[in-house]
Formats: sequence, C-alpha cells, structure tokens
Amino acid sequence: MQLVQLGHLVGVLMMILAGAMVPSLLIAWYDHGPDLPGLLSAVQWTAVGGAMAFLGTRKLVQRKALSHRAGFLIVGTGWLVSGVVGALPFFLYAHMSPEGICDQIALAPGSVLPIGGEFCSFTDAAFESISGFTTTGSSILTDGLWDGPGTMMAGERVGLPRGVLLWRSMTHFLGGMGIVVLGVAILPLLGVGGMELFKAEVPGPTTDKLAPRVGETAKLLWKVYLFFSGVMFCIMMLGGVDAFSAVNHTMATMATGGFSLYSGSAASFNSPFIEWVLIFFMYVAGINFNLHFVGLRGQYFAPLKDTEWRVYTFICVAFTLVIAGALTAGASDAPEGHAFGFLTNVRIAAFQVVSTITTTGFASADFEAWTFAPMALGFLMLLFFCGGMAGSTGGGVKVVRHILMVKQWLTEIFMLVHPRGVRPVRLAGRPVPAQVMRGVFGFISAYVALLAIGTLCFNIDGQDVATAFTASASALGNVGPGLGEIGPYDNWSVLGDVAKWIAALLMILGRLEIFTILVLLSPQFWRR
Amino acid sequence: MHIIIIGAGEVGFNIAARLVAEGHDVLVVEQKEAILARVDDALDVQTLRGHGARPTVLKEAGIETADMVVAVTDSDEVNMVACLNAAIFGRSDIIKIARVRDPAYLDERFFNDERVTIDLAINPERVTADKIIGLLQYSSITEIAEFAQGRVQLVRLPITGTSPLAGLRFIDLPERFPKTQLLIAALHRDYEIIIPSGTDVILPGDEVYIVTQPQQCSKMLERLGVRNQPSGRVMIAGGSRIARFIASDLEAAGVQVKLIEPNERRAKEIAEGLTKTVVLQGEPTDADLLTDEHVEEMQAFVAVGQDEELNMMSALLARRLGAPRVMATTNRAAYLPILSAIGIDVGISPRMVAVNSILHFIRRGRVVAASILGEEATAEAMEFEAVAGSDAVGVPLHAVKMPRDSLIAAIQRGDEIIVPTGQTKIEAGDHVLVVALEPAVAAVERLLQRRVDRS
Repeated sequence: MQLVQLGHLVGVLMMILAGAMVPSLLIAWYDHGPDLPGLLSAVQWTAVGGAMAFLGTRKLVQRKALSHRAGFLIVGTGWLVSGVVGALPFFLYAHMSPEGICDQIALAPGSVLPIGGEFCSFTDAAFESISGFTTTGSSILTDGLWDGPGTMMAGERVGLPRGVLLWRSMTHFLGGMGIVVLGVAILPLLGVGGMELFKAEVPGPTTDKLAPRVGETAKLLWKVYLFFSGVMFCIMMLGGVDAFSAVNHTMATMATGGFSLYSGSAASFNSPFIEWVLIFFMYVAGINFNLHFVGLRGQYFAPLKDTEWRVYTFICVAFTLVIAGALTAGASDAPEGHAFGFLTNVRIAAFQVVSTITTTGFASADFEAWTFAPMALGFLMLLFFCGGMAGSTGGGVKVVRHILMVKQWLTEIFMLVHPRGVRPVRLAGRPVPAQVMRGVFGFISAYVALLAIGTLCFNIDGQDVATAFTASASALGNVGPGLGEIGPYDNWSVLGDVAKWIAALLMILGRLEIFTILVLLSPQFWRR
Repeated sequence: MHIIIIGAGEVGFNIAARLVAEGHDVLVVEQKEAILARVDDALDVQTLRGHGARPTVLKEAGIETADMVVAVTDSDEVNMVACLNAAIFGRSDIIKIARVRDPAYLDERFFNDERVTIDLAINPERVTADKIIGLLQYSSITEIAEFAQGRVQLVRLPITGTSPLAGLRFIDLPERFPKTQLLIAALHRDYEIIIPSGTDVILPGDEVYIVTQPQQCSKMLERLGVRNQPSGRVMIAGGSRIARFIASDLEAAGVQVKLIEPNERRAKEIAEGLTKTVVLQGEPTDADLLTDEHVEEMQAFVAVGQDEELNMMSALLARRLGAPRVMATTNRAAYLPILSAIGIDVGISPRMVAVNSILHFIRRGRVVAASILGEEATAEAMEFEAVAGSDAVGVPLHAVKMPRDSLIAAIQRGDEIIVPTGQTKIEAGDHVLVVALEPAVAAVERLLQRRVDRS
C-alpha cells in the first residue's frame, strides 16, 4: 500500500516538474533555440510519466493519513526523482540539439568541449540538476555561461540557450522553499499527514505551523517567498537589469542557490547597486520565513526580538567589518585588482559574507586571491559551517543549532560547578525540549562525520586536501564554491564521475538535514 | 452577619473561630465528615456536609439570606465556582471571598469583571512570599507590618547583648537618641507581647517593635548599631509555590538564588520557569549538598517546602552549617512559637496569613489596615480613621484616656506622618496607628470611632 501511495505522489511531483519546465520550453520556442527539441521531449516524458504514475495508482490509493515512515520515504524519493527528472532538460538538450553537440565530442575526443558539451554525460546533467534543487549552486559547466549582461542584445548567442539557463534557475526556485512544500501547498490531497512531509523538508530543529492547517501553512510560506521574489525582481529591473537576467538572478537569490547566468557571477553586473540589492535579498532569504510572515502581517518589530535573528544579523555585520578591515589592512600587498579602500572592501566583504552564510554561493570577488589577507579568508571559511536561519531557504548547520550547542556547553560547565543542578537549555526564555537538544547534537555530530567522509572520498578521487575538504563542506552545506580546484570562479568538472555522485548525495543529505535520508538507509526503516 | 464558610481546613477553621469570637453567625460547609466533626466539637457554628460549589448545597446553607461567603477549600476552581453561584443565588450585595492560589487565575480583568464579582481573591502563598521578600531586604528584622499604604512600618528587631538599646529604660530613649524620633510600640518577651510603659527596661533577648518609615528604616537601624544589608545570596529549600514566587522576584531583583527541590520532575519544572536561579535536585536536609553549594556563604536560608517538619529540620541544619539567617514556613499555627524557640529567626504560617487577609477584609470600613503581631497572636496593630466627635479627637494625647495595654504609634494626616508626643492632637479624618493587646482592641475601636454627644 505504501508503494501505491508513493507512486501516486511521485506522479504528482513529476507533473509539477513538467509544469515548471513549461516556461523554459516557451522561451526556447520564442528564441527558436537549439534547446527546443530537448526541452519539448523532457516536458513530454516527464508529463507522461507523471500522469501514468498518478492515474495508474488513483484507483488503488486510499485517502488515509500518511504514516511517519511514508513521509520520509516520499520526501527522500521525491528529491531523488526531482534530481533525475530535472537532469532531463540538460541531458536531452545536449543530445537532441540540432548542432549535434554530443556528436562533435564523439568525432573529436579530447578537443575543447563545445558549449553545453558537459550535459552529454548524464552524471554531469544530474549533478547540475541536484546542485540546483538543493540550492547548492555548484556547477560542472566549464564554459557556456554568458560573459555579462547585454550578451543577448544583438540577437546573437554566446553561451547556453535561454531555455536551459532558465530551467537551471528554476531548479533553484523550486528547491529553495521546497518542492514537497509546494506540493503540500497546492494539493489538498496531501492535507492528511502533510505535516510529516513538511517537517521532513523544512530545515531547522523544530517546525512551527503558521496556520491551523498544514496546507495553509505551506501556502503562506510560498506566498511570502513569491512576494519577496516579486519585490526583488522589480528592484533589479529598476536597477537596469534586463528582464531575463532579473528573473534568473532573483530565483537564484531568493532560493539561496547561486547559479548565475554569467561566468563572472555577480561581478559581471559591474554595478555596486546591484551587488547591494543581491546582498540585501540574500540576507532576507537567509531569515526564517516564519519571521517574515509575522513581520508582513503587521507586527513589524516582533521579528527583531528573535534570538536567532539577532545572532544571524550580528554575525553578518561583525564578519563583514572584520573581513573588510583585514582586506584594507592587507591592501598594500594585494595583487592587481584586489586593493581597495575600506568602503569598497565593506561591499566586497558583505557580499562574500552574506553569500556564504546564507549558502547562496554567488561571488563578487575571487576570495581565493585573498592570500594577502589570510585572516579575511579564515573568517570567511568559518561561515561555511554556519548556515542561515532555521526555516529559511539557506542550507548548512543553521544559526539556531550553533546557539543551542553553545548553550549546551554552558550547561555542561554549570553542571560541573553544581553536580546536582537542574538547568534546561532555553531559547528566548522558553526551555528547549530534551529531544530537540538530542536532535541538534545528533545532527551536528552526523554533519561532522559526513564532512570527514566526504573529504576522504574526494581525496580518494585524487583531489588535494584544500579542494577535497572545501568540496565536502560546500556540498554538505549547500554553499556552492570552495577553495583550490573548485574556487568561486572554478567549476566542479574536475571531479570524477563517482565523486560527482558522492557530492550530489552530500547535497541532498545537507538539504534534507541528514536524518531524513539516513533513515532510508537503515534496515529498521524497512522492517515491517 | 450571617457568614457561610466553605471548606473547613486550617484556613476555614481559623477564620470560623475568629468570626465566632467577633460575634458573627457562621455556617461551615465541608465535604469530609471527620473534619466537620472536629469543627462541630470545637466551635459554636452550624455545620453542613456537602460540596460547597453546588447550588443545592448553597441553598441548603441559606445562601439567599447570607451576608458573606468565604470559599477556602484547597481547590481554586471550587472556590471560584462557589463564589459565582453565590452571586447568582444569593442577595445582590452578598460579599464573596475566594482563596485562589494559582497565579494564572489572578488576572485583574477576571476579578474586576462585573460578571464575576468576586470581591476578594486571596492568595496566601503570594502574600507569604511578599512578606519573606520584604524581610530579606533587611538582615536583622524578623517581622514587618505596613500601614498608611506602606508609608509607615512596624518592624520587629531582636535585641542582642551588645545592642545600645539593651538595659535602657523607655523614658531614657529620647535622651540617648536625640536625633531619632525612636518610638518603640511593643516589646516581645518570653512568648508574650508587652505594651511598654516608661519604666520598663529593654533586656537582651527581647524583641522590640519599632515604628518607622521605609526610607528611614536602614538609617534608624544603623543608629541602633545594626549593620543592615539586603540579602544578596539566598538559598531556598523546597520547591513550593512560595519558593517559586520568592525565587522569581529575587532573581529579577538581581539576587543570587539557589533553590533545592527533592523531586526530580518538579525540579525540572521549576528550572524551566526560572531563568537565573540555580535549581538543585536533592534533599534539603542533605548536609553534603548544602555544604557543596556553600550554604555558609548565603545571607539567608529560607525553608518553604510543603512539609513543615522538614522545613524546620533543614533550617536548623542550615543554621548549624553556617547560614547567618534562617526562615521557615509552617501551616500549623501552634508551631510558630516553637520555631523561634529552637533558633529559627523567622517563622511564617501561610494559612494564618490567609486568615488575617480575610479577617481584615471583613473588618474593612472600621479598620483601614491591621496586622497581628507575634507568633502567639495576642496583640494587633491597627490603622483607624478617627471620627469627628470621638473622645480622642481635638484633645492633646496626654489628656486622652487610652485603654490599658494600648498605644498610639503614628498618625497620618494627609501626606504627613506624625510621630506622636503628649502634645499632639488627633484631628478628624486622621489615620491613627494603634498597637493594642487583644483584650483592648474593642475599647480602642470605641475610643476612636464612637461619636460622643457632648451637648
């Protein structure tokens, strides 16, 4: 019976994905782009597959509450299916393009890859898709991104077609607030037991309901998400960004994803204003959406009392100032193009800090070149392990878990002084239930273990220590860039095929906060 | 007055006894037969067995003609429902008093709402906690009673051998302390209260009741050679409701508080409700625990658990381990004199606190405020409003014939507080603080409040 339910819901999920591909298809059709046949075929396959799964199980499926276990199974499977189905537009584009991209590679192996050539490999296409859905923003594209805004203006195309690029950003947007949450929001049939799905996908140690019904809660979250996206889009347009670029970067920002249209990422805009807009909205996306909801409903100042928000904001500001100071102090030794005054450095620092803490992964500067200010790079690296707020679209450990961990340390010290003492860990005056604390520590220890295992895997793959470690941290934390071979202006194509799948697995583990996936791997889960 | 008392526990029993003594007709409603039998034996009251919140029982008790209902069972809900039913089935001007202990119920809007009309909700634990917190402001005072909206205090100070007061006669006081208007209103000696005359001598081991004002109290104590210091570190034994009130108020005031509760689950609950207090799970009589937590560094040790014998033992243990000041609560009024005899500095009975609050409310109108002095409850301090035309008004005090064993301790005229001398005259409308032994209370009342036809 579980399988029927699973098939039914996966069918629904695939139809949502097919629907999400339609804008890409339309723009490819409008452009008469080389991606049209591939996208058309991807939409067809996804829609037909989804409809078959949905309709085939409709008679059998019972409208009963989802069990706890079914929730994990559905979310886990849902994300794997999304990763694979999301790869279809990339993969089919490369193989069905009238330019015969993959034939070129077959004819002249070893030569420079044609644009989009990476997608001939299904591994690479799936990596890109999973990196997109998990809002990591790590890319295997070596070439094919545009040089900068305005490239499309003359009607000529230098780089990947718009349909494929739009789908790339769309994966971010769906994965940001969560595709299962979207399903819960728009489908009443998920109402029963929907909370299990909701909890499994929304990040953070605890999940609050904003409305009595989980479907209503999911709807509210998506509305807030769309609202901020709309505002950001308008501001980007006012800043002189063309509509297509504004749409893509808005989706990548609000989802804290990190895919850019441009090979220079945010630096290609060449506009301090746009950089500040991106900084602001990355920051906004890293805030708990429940707080946004409370604030938008009229209690404007209520969120300011939130402990996690205060710590999150403090980290953003403090790290920005420290890094800007370090960059300014080291300016005399800085290489060409990295020596700036303090105010410019504040902008550069704020961008990298917010981009890293929210796990977006946009870059406005090549922080790998900060060898003249090791302290700046050191502080930035710390943020790889921080993450945004719980309930945001950001990944990583989350600020609240760090807060609870530090509070637990203080409690341990208290217990050493007062062996018979009784002291609960409290957050904003409220005691934190013991099982939440257990969850936090389970999460952090599993996070560290996976980080180490991931590093080892990439070492085995042949990467140097810096690359391997930051690749593991970046994938697990859904950040995007790392150091060494995978710096902010490098890409992940250096990894071997197996290593790419491992990275993709780490991304999903990170996005679904580890245990949702680990439980699927335990024998107990499958025992009846 | 015809008064119905619901619940014949320690509080109900004591109120009934006092009300009977004051000449009221009392009917006691109680569910448990054994308790009711005790009431029947000991008091001259009517009794009725039944559930006091039920309309049928209330009607049987004569609610239609009653002047007052006092609901003091152990259940807040029963007490409140009894009052609501009294409002419905009783006369429209019936006075309703309920004991409500859960602070969550004590919402102002609820009790001020005209649909509820409970005239007095008393919370003995809250009042007891306030009394203890008040005492913790001073390092040597063992009792505080407040009058004139808190602007006059009667404080009880133990006299040690080294005190400058020891060995003095009362008439010599103004000479020895010319800068202070020192008025000692009563003396506590050998389990008895004495209203002093000029030739009485203050002895070491006595406790004196001094009239003072809050802002002058510490200065006055300093002149008497008492170094006063508010308690900055307090240990509380027992996780009762009183303990929680004290801990949360003290921690908000910046006092370091340690609280010991034996029950693990309860200790956790308490810890969740407090923020800075160090909650410890263990027996309050565990000497090792007290030593580990440095009971000797505390400025006060307060035992306020449910079990009164345990309170006494833990307070004594804390004293032996070096706590400079120990307090304990007990619900048995009979224990109060014992507490001071065995060396516990302050003993308080929450039940008696409840009895007092209710009695004062019943007597309101005639008496503005009142407080029973001493553990034996043999004396009372009362604040009266002087009525025009009474014997005491308009005459210098030395000419007023005060009843035996009574003393005028202070006069409040508008915003002014007057320490009376022989020349002072009481004016109509003044609030007069009188200290009197129980037998003199009625005479004092007559003196200040009965109009005399002088024509």
